[in-house]
Amino acid sequence: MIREMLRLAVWGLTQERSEVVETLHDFGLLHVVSPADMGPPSEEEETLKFTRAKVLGMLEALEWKDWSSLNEEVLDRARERVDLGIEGVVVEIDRSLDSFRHRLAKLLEERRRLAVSLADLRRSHQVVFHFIPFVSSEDTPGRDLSLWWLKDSAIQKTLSAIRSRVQKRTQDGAETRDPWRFHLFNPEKGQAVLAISVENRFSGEIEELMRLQGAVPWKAPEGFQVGSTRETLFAVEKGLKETGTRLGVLSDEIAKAREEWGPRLASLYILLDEKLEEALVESGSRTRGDTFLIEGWIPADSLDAVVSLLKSRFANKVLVQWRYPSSEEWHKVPALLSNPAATRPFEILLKLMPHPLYKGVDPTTLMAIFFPFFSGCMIGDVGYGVLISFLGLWLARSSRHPLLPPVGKILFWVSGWSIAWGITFGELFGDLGHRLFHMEPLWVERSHAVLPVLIFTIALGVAHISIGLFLGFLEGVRKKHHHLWMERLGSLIVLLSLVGLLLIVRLNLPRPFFSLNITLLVVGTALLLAGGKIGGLIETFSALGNVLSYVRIAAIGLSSAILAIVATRFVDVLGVSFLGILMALIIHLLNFVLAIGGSGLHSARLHYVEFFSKFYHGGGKEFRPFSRRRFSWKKPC
Amino acid sequence: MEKALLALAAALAIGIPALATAYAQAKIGSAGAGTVAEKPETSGTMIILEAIPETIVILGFVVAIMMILQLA
Repeated sequence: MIREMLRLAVWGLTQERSEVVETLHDFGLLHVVSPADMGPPSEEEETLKFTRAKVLGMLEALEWKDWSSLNEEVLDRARERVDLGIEGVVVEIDRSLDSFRHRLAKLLEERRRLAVSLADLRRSHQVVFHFIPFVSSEDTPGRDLSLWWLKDSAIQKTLSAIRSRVQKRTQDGAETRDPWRFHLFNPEKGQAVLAISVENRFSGEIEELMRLQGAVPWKAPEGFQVGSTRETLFAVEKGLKETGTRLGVLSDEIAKAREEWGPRLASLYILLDEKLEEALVESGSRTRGDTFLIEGWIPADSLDAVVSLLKSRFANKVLVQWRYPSSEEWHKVPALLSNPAATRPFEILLKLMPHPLYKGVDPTTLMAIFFPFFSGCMIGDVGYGVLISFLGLWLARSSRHPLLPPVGKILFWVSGWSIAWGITFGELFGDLGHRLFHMEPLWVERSHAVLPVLIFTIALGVAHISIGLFLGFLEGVRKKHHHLWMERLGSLIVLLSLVGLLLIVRLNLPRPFFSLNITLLVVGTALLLAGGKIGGLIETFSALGNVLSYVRIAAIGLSSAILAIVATRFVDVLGVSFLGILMALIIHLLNFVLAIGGSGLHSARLHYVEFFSKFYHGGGKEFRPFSRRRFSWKKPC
Repeated sequence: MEKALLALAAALAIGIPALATAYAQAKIGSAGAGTVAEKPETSGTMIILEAIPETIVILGFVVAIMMILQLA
């Protein structure tokens, strides 16, 4: 149902405008209409926007995301702390931020620096780790150790060059120990690190030779290049441990700051946002002399409440006027959906469509009837239905995301119909119910009797599309769109008369029925041509296609039923063994996920494409009341 | 032979539309993902557009079932 709206005008004295705006903000049910010719933002608004962005920036720097933890108590406490005018709020917030900003900047900068250093050390440690044994064994007096980066392709050539150079110098055979030794490691493709240990007398020559081969000396990150190669390697290893520990300590400090300051900054952000909204409403109000005027839309049933509130606070200093919108204004009026608690969760399915028009049709109740009915028919299994009900209950109680409770409630509805259809088709985890409890279908076993289910789903399609066409006809009549109502009525009559003809042929009904149907067909076609001309006829063919589309309920149901049977057959093939039961459970799990996803998606599609196209007109305005951020607060975009 | 041909025809009746639908949905899906990333409010329209080609598989399924029933 779409709530009746009133155009409300509040007149008052300019000196009391802020108080009136605050009162309306607290009341939270006025959809404020700002004049189209609003000037550029005032300095005050710019300051608020800037401060708000600054607070958000700090929240992002802190990586605080726990918006759902904010409750009314936290917000009220923050409001009391900064219960000042706009200027006072900005000054107070700036003062709070200044004491924290420097500390945070210092912590974040140190963390950034340490993170860079840690990444460098990790890269170096990759090399160090491989060379420590070699370097430790070669770190003896009289020998020189060096590490070099070189290309893979140059390794053989370089080693040969070193070998021949050393051999040339040691031809006399007076040496007692290896004059040179090496160790090689490939940290990445195409590149290698070569550690060379040589007697001191060769070190100059080897360095020159390595440089000639295009090798580059390996170096530890800045600050860790100390003394000998061995000392450097150990310094890197020690540095890695210490940097990691320091980074951990720093992260703990930031987490503490996040915990302490996150909710405080988020509350400030919300307060600033509220103040900005109030400032925008104030600047959007019309001023005439010493008076101001605020206009907007309000649900008709809230009129008494707002009038008594304003009168109790401001007595005769405010004047409240109201009127019903004229039909020319309907497209400007925001549409506020209002449904009973049982069907309200289905409003989220409408969020994927353009918002309904004021004075349009709110299809929530119809969706609440048909959506779970179709989904349940596709799933059609008692076992899956029970599991879905548990899932629905769990989601309905979840507070992790505002979308989860309504989704849970929808699933609960779906589970009810799944169980009902499961009993009708005699399915409990496929044919397990039949095997264990001799469960028999009340109607047909859909894995065997395909045709009756197909015909039933087509009948469902006829009924659903007919309702849609009838609603479209009513919409046309109500809005006095002659073409629309004639076309929808014509389509409805043609569709029903074609179904009637089919029944007459199949059931051999008496001749008068045939004549009646032909007459209806002619009348329907005439209405179609009058309402939509050739386009109307095409529309009717598309309606017939839409009806056939409901066969998907049977098709998806059939595949779900067969998959469930296949799962149980695994136990037949593999026996009552661990593997057999595991395979059966995996297939059932897959089928369960497909059943929920597929049935939901296809049910939604049947509504969005087939059903809504007959009567639903989106493009309406969403009702956005001028209200304080309460539990509906979400993370800012 | 006639039964075999009927079975083959039933397989083709659902197989070819399924391939065609998969191709169309792949194209629509990739374009839709880009659109939704740019404008999240178009997600409803994209679901509808993504779902439209499926109708042809459903029609293929009906034809295939009719043929299989003839086999039986």
